[in-house]
Amino acid sequence: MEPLLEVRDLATYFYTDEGTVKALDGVSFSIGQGEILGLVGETGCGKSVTATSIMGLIPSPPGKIVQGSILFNGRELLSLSEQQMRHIRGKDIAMIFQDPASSLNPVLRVGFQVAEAIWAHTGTPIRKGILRAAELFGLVNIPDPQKTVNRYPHQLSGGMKQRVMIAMALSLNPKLLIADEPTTALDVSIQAQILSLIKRLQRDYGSSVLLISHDLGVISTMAHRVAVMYSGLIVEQGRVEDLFQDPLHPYTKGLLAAIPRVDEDKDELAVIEGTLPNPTDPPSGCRFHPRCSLATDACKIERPPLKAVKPAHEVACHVYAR
Amino acid sequence: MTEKKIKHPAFVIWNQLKKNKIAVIGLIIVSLYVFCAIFAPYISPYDPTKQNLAESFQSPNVRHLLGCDDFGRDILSRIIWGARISLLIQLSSVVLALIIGILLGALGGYYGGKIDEVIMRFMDILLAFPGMLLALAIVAMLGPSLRNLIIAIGVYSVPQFARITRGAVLAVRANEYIVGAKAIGESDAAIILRYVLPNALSPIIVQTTLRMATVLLTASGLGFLGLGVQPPNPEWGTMLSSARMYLRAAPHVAIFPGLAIMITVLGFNFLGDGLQDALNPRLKE
Amino acid sequence: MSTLVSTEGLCKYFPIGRGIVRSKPIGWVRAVDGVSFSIDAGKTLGLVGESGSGKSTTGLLLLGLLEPSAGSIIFDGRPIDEFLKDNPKQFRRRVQVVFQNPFASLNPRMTVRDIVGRGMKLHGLAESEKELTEKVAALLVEVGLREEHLNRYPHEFSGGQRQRIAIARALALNPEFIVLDEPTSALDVSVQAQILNLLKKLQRLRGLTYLFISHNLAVVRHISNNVAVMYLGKIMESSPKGELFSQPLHPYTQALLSSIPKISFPPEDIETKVIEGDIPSPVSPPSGCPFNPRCRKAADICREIMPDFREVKAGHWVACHLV
Repeated sequence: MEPLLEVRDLATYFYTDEGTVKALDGVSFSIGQGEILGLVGETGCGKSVTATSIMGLIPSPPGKIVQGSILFNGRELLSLSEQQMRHIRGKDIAMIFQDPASSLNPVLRVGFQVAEAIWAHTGTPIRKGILRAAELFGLVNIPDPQKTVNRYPHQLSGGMKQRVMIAMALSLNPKLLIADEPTTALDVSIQAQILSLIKRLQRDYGSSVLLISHDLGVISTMAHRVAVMYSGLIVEQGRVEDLFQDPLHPYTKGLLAAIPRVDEDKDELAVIEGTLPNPTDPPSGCRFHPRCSLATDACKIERPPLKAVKPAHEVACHVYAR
Repeated sequence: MTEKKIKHPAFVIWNQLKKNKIAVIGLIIVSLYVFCAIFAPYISPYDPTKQNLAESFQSPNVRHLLGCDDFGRDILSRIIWGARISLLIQLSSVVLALIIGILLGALGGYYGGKIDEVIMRFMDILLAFPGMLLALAIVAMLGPSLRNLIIAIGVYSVPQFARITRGAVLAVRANEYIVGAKAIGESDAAIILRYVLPNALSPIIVQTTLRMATVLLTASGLGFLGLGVQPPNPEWGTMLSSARMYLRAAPHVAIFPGLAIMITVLGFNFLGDGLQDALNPRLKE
Repeated sequence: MSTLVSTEGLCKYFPIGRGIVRSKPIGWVRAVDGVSFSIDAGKTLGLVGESGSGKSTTGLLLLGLLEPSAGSIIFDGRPIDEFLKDNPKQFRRRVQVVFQNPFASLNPRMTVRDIVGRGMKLHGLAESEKELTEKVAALLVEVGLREEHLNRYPHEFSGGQRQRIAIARALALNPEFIVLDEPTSALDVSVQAQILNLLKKLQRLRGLTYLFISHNLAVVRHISNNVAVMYLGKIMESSPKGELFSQPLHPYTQALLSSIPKISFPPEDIETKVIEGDIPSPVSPPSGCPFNPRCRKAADICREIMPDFREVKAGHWVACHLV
């Protein structure tokens, strides 16, 4: 079956006073129908920029998508006008963000905001939209939905606000839901609620999800496949069970060894030497080479391509290249 | 490890400022103004108080570039010397207001509670008076002279500085490095002087620049009403006042001091706005 | 094993709605509501909690930067209010702090040398400027930075490096006890590992005692010797680390540990691990046990009476009627 979203060689640069930030420098991945793809990485790896690039929300200036293609249901998103993208945003591709408080308008009631989103895409009158919002609030387990539609964002807790965002995102039955760190700003005891909600809705609606997180536990619990990003590139990609149980890329291995676990004791956390690369002046060749214990001369010169080393398990590393 | 090349903060601010054309115009005007004020004795073509009745009301010509006033004094010279007087008034009153205002605002913002309440209510009382009227009342009470003008304008500027300082102090106080300073045993005075105020400077700098404009207008206004600098001192407002009677016959006597006031006030406003924009992104760091 | 720090029935209530002059507050936020624990010298107590748990307020109380509304804090055998009155400088030297936000915990207008050395200057620990510089340089090296960083400003450093500077500052006075409030929560995973390793090393070499405050149970598991779990101002459970994670007794601890997404195969079904409900506001806590509205095992008594904090096994304390 054709993938729902296919990204090829996407590169997004930001032109700033301090230099050109190559936030994405040739990223390729795909998401199938009904699939959850996790995008994992640390600060500056480009995972959030990937999401905003797909949504066509890169501020320009200073940003620019300099190359690549984004095929959504066979349609090339990069060649669409802003008008056409606006039809797609919210309706076919919806997004929820890390901080629900800043995504909701503090002076409008939440029911109205959802109704407004519905109206913008379908012309449904606001009054009907608010009824639909109450329905959706019930679906996302917001207690007392009839009353909640008349509440203002500040009257709701963080978890409730995030549910409102999810309701808004799902109101038009999107084919692709992009969730950018959806639980990072929430308390630990609330995280499971939101994650389980996303999982249930994904199953019931059959949507695909691009789940962005720095938390490997979240990705491992939620996603079917995962892509590990470093410095604007994907360094490893594969099924969740393959990648976490048998990591191939030295960075992935380093990450897994550096995280403390809640379910087991570790004597010492393995440290990845060095620091994250300067986004305006990344290392030559393989961007991870200054921190890699296996680095050879080839790694300093040539950037390794992302290649399948095992079925459905790709790595960008010279160690595996034949 | 590739480290970022760091430019000195002043350099970055200057760069930001340069891009704003209006701010640059403001900077040029202010620089010109300050230059005239400082070098008045050297660049003024004539003695500003020297009367020459034979040349009264001369229109601008080659010998007197801006013409002569009702007493035959060279207007250009009077304008240049007027800059000196205006700058003196501005600097003195603003420095006075800064010292008192920052002290009150910092104390109120840092300690909060009753101290803050008392100080702020007192500031509110001062602010309740329309600015000009307050300055007027003080000068009228003390008697018109340069010294009293400075005191009046200084006092009426205190609440603005107190407010801005207090706001900046409140924002800075929320940072953890203030708690850290307490944890190593720093005294309150040291915390205010070393940790709080240096980080609250940006809005104070902006306010100072903008205030210079207001002060100039007020001083000129009071001068115009006869309550400021007394003639024959070439203060622009006073000059305007004397030129009132001759508006129809010799408009240039009024136009030039009026223009001088307007351009200088605009200059400070442009510069102040530009500084505000240039300093703001730095605050986000 | 000697106890270095301990608290008994520690409370901190903040008034709400105090008027201008002398009106009574209309209510109280019970940020910390009867907290008792002790930390042995050279050990780490991990204090875990979510929003409204009161863990950060507890940290500030232990630093002597907030006055308790009730209860006592004993440091090295002396109540700290006495300590602060008689010998404040000594207390400040022996108790230090590291904060969460590397971007707000260092004065942007001071150089690294001044930030780290300020305490030393205040307490007269250096005879001359030269000696101060040397001592600060040594500290920087100890935390993994370099001497050339002395004259730079905080904004020139990354988050991880700033935390190192903050740690160096905390060490400058040669303290015995350090309160760390979410020191790695704002850092990337790979940087977090470096800082945690550094903290462990420093504890070993200098015999430091830590109060490690965090919401991240995995980090707490890694770095603590003992763990206390807080909820709405009270401690629900406290025990040696190994026992808490392998045999949690309090329903809140159990639910929390179970609901954290883990890397495990086959993957857990997150939908079965959900804790229902929201965290109540500390302004209007539930009656009886604070966790009762969300507890699957809640009985009638849980809704009425606050359970006692009892030692049910050696060193293992729980506040629950059902244990």
